[in-house]
Amino acid sequence: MIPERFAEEILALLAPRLAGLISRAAERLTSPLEEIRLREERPLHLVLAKGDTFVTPAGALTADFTQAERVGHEEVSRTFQAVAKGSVYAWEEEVRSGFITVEGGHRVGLCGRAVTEAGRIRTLRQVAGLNIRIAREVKGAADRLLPHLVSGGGVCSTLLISPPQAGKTTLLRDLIRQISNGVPALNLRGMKVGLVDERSEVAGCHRGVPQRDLGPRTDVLDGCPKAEGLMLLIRALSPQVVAVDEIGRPADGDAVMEALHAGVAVLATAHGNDLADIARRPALAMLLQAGAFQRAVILGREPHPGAVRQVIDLQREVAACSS
Amino acid sequence: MAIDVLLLFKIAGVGIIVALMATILKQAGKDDQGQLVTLVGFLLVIMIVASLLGKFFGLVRTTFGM
Amino acid sequence: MFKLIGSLLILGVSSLLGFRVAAAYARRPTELRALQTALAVLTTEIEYGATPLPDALRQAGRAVGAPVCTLLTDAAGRMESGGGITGGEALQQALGRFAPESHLRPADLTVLQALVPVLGASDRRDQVRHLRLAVERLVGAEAQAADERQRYERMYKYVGVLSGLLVVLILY
Repeated sequence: MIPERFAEEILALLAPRLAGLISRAAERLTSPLEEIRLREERPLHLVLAKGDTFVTPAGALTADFTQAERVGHEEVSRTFQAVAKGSVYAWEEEVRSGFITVEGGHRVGLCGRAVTEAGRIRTLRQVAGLNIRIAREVKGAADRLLPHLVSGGGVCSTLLISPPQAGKTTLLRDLIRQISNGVPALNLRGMKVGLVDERSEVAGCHRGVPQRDLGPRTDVLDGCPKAEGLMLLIRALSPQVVAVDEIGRPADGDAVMEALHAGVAVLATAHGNDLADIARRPALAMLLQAGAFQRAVILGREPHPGAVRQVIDLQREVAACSS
Repeated sequence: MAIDVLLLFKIAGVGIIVALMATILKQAGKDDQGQLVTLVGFLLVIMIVASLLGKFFGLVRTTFGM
Repeated sequence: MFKLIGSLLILGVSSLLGFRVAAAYARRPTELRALQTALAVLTTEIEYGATPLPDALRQAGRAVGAPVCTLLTDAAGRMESGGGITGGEALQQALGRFAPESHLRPADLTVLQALVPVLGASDRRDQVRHLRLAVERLVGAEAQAADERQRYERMYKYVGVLSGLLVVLILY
């Protein structure tokens, strides 16, 4: 259950003693490893796809945290420095946002004492906790969905509706990759895709370079506010398709409309359980009513995250409603 | 006598060098070392003079057959 | 004949010794000044460029000549060679190689040692603060070194030559 390149991308960041322990523990895992949590003076904690566990001083797994190995201050400090590649000062923006994305697209969340200035966080001093979230790519996640979204040699503007932890980000990522590559079987040429990755979750950019495979024709604006980012993409990068994660605010809605007016197809995601949920939010309801999206996809967590529960052809729905 | 002239030059030389060194050392603030050098020079001169005197008295002895 | 060669040898050796000691006095302020320049460049790179530490160290090294250049380049190289060593540790190891070859005193090296736990481990403001403090201390050390140089450089040169002459004179 060890992810690809685990040793180079993740173990290399950890303090040597912790790396040894986790390396041994990882071999005994029965479920994929999702997070490694380092908390100063607290037990070494691993979060799995199903459940969690602690690591004993011998490198074994235990559910009893009192038996677990404790993480020392020096180890947290050293791991943080390794994550920052020895130059903590060079990551001020990231520290302020609370996380650093390392090579491989893994996101390291930071925990510590915040230093504020005029009511806003200036930086984090004394980082005392790290949460290493291991990135996993699932190529082919969109295989079953994509045929429904392709029409007339192009891509339909689609809204992915999903509850939390239902795999929408993974799905979006694979959609982008396949559209960018092109799918000959569906008569889909590779298209230019622009992604606004405000929370750096889709592309996992490290210093502006996407760490995940998003296809050869994809441009990524990392950490950029959605509304502005969409405008930037359209003005400067001439995309054929744009992708945004988690829209919901009025500004997001306006930006999507602008994109559509510019003749660009839009792939967007939003939190929710079904269309009714979406219709309750003003900005999204506006978009639905204006016919911004041609397809809506409802995702669920069962039987597995990313399961497509329903694909709705909104054009037909709208046509059905107005008749 | 020729030997003695050389010795005289030696004394003169030692004296000059020691004086120079002592001045330089004192100028640089190392008074103690300067005084040490002066002392050493003095001793050296005494030794040379002593050997000279020794020869002189030897000469006197032989001259007076003592 | 041999007397001449012998005296030249003695004179040569003692003069050389004297000049060597004098040179050490001359090099210390130069090295201290070079360190200040290099640290100033490092501060700029960190404060305004947010340059990753290995590159910042190389840039700082480029601003000065050996042996300070070698110190910084060595530290940069150690960081880059991986193994997850921190900037501070890289500096510590590089200092180990640098100290015997430099003309700095242990007190001077302590100023650099103080940077070891800090380098690359905190935010910009903190880094700049520590670096500026180190530069200040080096300025003080340089002033003292310059004073010593003024007093002792000439002295040792003369003492070297003169003692050689003295020995030659006494022996022959």
